[in-house]
Amino acid sequence: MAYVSAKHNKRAAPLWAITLAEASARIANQTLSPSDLLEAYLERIAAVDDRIHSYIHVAAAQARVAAAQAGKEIAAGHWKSPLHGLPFAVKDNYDVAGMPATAGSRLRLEHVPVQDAALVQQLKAAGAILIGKLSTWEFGTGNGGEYFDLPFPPARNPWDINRFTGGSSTGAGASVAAGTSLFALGSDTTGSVRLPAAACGAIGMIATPGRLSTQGILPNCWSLDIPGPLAWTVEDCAMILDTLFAQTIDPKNIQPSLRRSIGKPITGFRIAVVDDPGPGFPDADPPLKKGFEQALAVLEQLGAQLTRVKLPVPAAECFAASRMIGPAETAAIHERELKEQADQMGFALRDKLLAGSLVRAVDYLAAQRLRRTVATSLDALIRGYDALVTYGTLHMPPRLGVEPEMTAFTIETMLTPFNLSGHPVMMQCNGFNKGLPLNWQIVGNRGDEATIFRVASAYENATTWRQKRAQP
Amino acid sequence: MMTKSKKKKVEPTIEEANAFAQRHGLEHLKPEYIARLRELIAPVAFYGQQVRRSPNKENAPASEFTAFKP
Repeated sequence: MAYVSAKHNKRAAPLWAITLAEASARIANQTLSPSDLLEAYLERIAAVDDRIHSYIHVAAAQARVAAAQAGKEIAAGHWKSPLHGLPFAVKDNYDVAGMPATAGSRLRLEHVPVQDAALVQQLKAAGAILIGKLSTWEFGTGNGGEYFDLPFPPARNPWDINRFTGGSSTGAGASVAAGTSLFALGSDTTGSVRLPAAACGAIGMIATPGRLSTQGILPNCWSLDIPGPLAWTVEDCAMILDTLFAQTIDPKNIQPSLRRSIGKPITGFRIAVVDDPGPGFPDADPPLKKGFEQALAVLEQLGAQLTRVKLPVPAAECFAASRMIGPAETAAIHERELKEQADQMGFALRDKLLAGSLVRAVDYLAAQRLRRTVATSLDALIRGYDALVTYGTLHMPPRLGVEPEMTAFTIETMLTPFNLSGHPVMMQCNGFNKGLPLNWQIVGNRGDEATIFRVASAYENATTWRQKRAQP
Repeated sequence: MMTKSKKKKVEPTIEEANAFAQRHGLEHLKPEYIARLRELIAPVAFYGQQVRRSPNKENAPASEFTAFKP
């Protein structure tokens, strides 16, 4: 594995390695054309995607037409948004009109939607260019393992292709990290945006539930599903959400631009720190612990006031609740497929559906009742602070195909509490160890994504982690 | 991750798994999937019992948290 240092090679940095913010500015001032940018990504895909398998479907011809059109519009003075002319990709559980939406499954190889998912529609309306569909665990779900029994090869981690990308938005994490897409949309139920972001060193964000539409995304768990973007920098992620929020939010509840949070100081910010997973889960791996403590020191140097706190409901208990909610709802959603097409599924999906079929209603409801406790108690905790920081994963990216390592990476995390509670969360890279990315989470009060961006951007600007890029 | 109960284990039988499949419309599953269903009965029940119960009967299930209308 080798790195490209953008700091030392700024002038020579290939187009796939420039940030979304820079690409946006250059396209807006017409020093870069959407077509040239798109071609850089198509070349990057041709160069590396046979090793990382981030894509299931590349729609080069449609993308070229859209990029040429965007170029004409911008040249004519019809600039639509900061995302106009910028290439992106979506997890293959998103509907795109006229494009296969397999959700990584043999059961849906012939499925071609006639309508775009709401978020795809919004990005297209903003002028963004869809390159294609990204790899995913089957139906955007699974049991943590990888069994090499799906119709597409699994995505591989660009930092080490023998390691797992994190699931289920496997291709989204791989593509953003490897530069085969400028940004991506994934979906999260109990970590499926944040796990790939963690394993691949990208930014992964879930906003307050309800901010972004799930329409046109194959459901996995009605009560927990939430879409989210993956990008390389905090500012890039802010620009994506600014575009999506602007088109989604109730006009009576307009939020200030998240991009305005970028670069602002955090002096005096009160930040809660959860450094203990609590009973039931192991301590974080030593490199993650060291990275976490070093990141806290950076926040202190930036003037934040840190207070160590504990989660009111331990992460392991939250996971136990999600272990009832997720499989039961998935089994309800895909009951017909289990009854009629079980032998066409991969092991992971079938196993989850079988387990979900066995969940008692009493246990499901106990989990949903615990969820209320988690939400209210976490709300009470976080309201006393500007933000909360904690570990993301408790393990380093595991070896692909080594089931115990992969399931531990997926299960033993600090992710589930915030799915249950409905707080906005960002997964951010906070260092590297032996070439593999480290990670942490920044959690905000409900509806206050802006503070997350402010903390994350202050941290990012004070560190050099964004200057490393993966070379698979 | 979770401590196991010291109660005597009651291992599910393949007949129990077959009966469950018959009752719930899964009778067409292949025998190997029914065998897997049998393996899953005990852990799913165990995990279900691990979920903390609320002592307050007015604590209703929270099926969704939508702060903003999409």
